[in-house]
Amino acid sequence: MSSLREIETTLTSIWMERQPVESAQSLSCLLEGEKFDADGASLYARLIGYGHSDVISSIYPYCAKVLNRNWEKTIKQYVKMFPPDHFHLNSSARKFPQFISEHCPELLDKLPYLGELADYEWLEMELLEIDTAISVTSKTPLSEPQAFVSLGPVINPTLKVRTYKYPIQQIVDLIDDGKGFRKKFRPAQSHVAMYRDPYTHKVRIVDLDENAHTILSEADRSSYGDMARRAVELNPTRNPEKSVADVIEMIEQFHDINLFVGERKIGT
Amino acid sequence: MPDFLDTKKLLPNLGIGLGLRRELASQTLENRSKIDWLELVPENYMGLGGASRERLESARDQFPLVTHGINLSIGSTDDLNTEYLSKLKKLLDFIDAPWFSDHLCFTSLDGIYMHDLLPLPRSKEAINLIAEKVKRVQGTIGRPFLLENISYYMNVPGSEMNDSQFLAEVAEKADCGLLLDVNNVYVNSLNHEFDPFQYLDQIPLERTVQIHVAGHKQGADYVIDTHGSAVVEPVFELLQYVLERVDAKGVMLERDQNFPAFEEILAEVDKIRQISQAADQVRQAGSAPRAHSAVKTFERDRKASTIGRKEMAEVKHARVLSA
Ligand SMILES: [Fe+2]
Repeated sequence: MSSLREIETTLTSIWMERQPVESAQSLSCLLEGEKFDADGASLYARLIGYGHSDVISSIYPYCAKVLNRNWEKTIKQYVKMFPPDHFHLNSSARKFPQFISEHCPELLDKLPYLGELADYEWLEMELLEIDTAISVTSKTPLSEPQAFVSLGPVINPTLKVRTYKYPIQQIVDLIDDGKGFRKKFRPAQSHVAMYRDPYTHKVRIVDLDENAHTILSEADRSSYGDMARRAVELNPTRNPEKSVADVIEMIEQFHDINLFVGERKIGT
Repeated sequence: MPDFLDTKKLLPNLGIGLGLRRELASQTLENRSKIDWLELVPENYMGLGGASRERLESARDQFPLVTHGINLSIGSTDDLNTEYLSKLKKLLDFIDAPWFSDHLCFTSLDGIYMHDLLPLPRSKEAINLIAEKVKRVQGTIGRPFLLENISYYMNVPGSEMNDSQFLAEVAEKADCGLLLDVNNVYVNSLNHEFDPFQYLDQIPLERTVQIHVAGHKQGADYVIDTHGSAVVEPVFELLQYVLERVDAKGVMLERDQNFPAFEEILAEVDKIRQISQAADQVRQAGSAPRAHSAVKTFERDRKASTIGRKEMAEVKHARVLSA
């Protein structure tokens, strides 16, 4: 007589399409002449497969569009290699970027940015769900000179910044645009800032240029004055007043879009 | 813990509720006067922030809440997932749920989650395992636990008894409550050709604390429990039959996809309320027959339509999708 463990293992292997349906016929718990319910088992395999495909497609709509006819096949290979290992359904999609980057050399040959695109899409998902409270406090107008020296920004605690080899945000915009999406892109380093808005709970995405990226990466230990100084340093050939005006505008903008969520006193 | 039936006497009467779903959340929260309580899928809230957290807090501020889990995997020969249990306990403490529930099934094995409600062999070994795990779950969580009868679409090898016997023995041995899904009883009665009223007579109905009412869909070979269409009359009849015999502490409508105008959902909630009120009177007057005497006719129409691939993709027991 088959043990419960043996029955569950056999069924799971069939439902996850790791073993053919016929293999269940060898279960010793089947009575003489009893046929294993292959139709029912296949229905479960389909339901489970659709469930996984559904959730992965909903998290990676851009990868799905780029891969087009190869999408379903890629998902199947992914689930086979990285079966869902967490009780959170969305978590079953978390290793997809790793799968693309490490196990799909043929896809990467044609679409070398695909791993980064997958990372971009997972990051958005992760930030939507991350259990981090975001408190927003008021800020002093930067027109007050004292604020420059004594204050610095508080960064939205959900902020993640990625540096990609490819212009991922541009690729995403082109896919959204729908028209004339070409699949070939030259490498061009890009910086993307992603964070969750404390009010709408949606993920906001900011494309950063090289200098904005540098200044933002130092912002948690800078005063507003330090940030302005850095902007001048990074643009040695530019009129310093213009650089300072630009950085003030950027700081105000970051507050407006809740990338900065408050201010901190320097030295405390 | 005292015997479950003593525990049940102390549970509050929640009334008529609705499943809290992301797509319906704002309308649900606006209709506090028409909906008495909400059931939520804990996996959609455990350890999650952002919109989920905000929805949870708004719901908790306005409604009594209970949870209905997917991934406890009570029938799995894997041990209980301690991370899952501790996150569930935290959530249940936060909403101060009068009870919590999951399904009589397994959803994971060897740490792999299939994210579907999978049928078990109806065996003594499974009953013993589940009873032992339920006792540990109730001990860890410290709140009354209910198991729901699932709909199932295959004959699982190694089964030694029918579904009603299995459910009855699990509930008695584990000494837990029942979340009776009358739509699942109906769907199973069509797919596996039994009399749903007889089924109800064979299970310990007195353990029923909560009842699910839902819609289903005709597939190619099976009737599928989709929670995606209107509730059919025979399911309301089963609800009435149960409520005329036992005092359930909460009845609720499950609607998870293919959402109609919210008024239609409220109309179904209202219909459940009317059936519940009428049945209460019958029960209190003691005028319900002890068991279903004559077998009611039930229509069987398995091949009525073919379920297409797109429709199959809609077939979900519960989704845990992001915002
Ligand atoms: Fe249900």
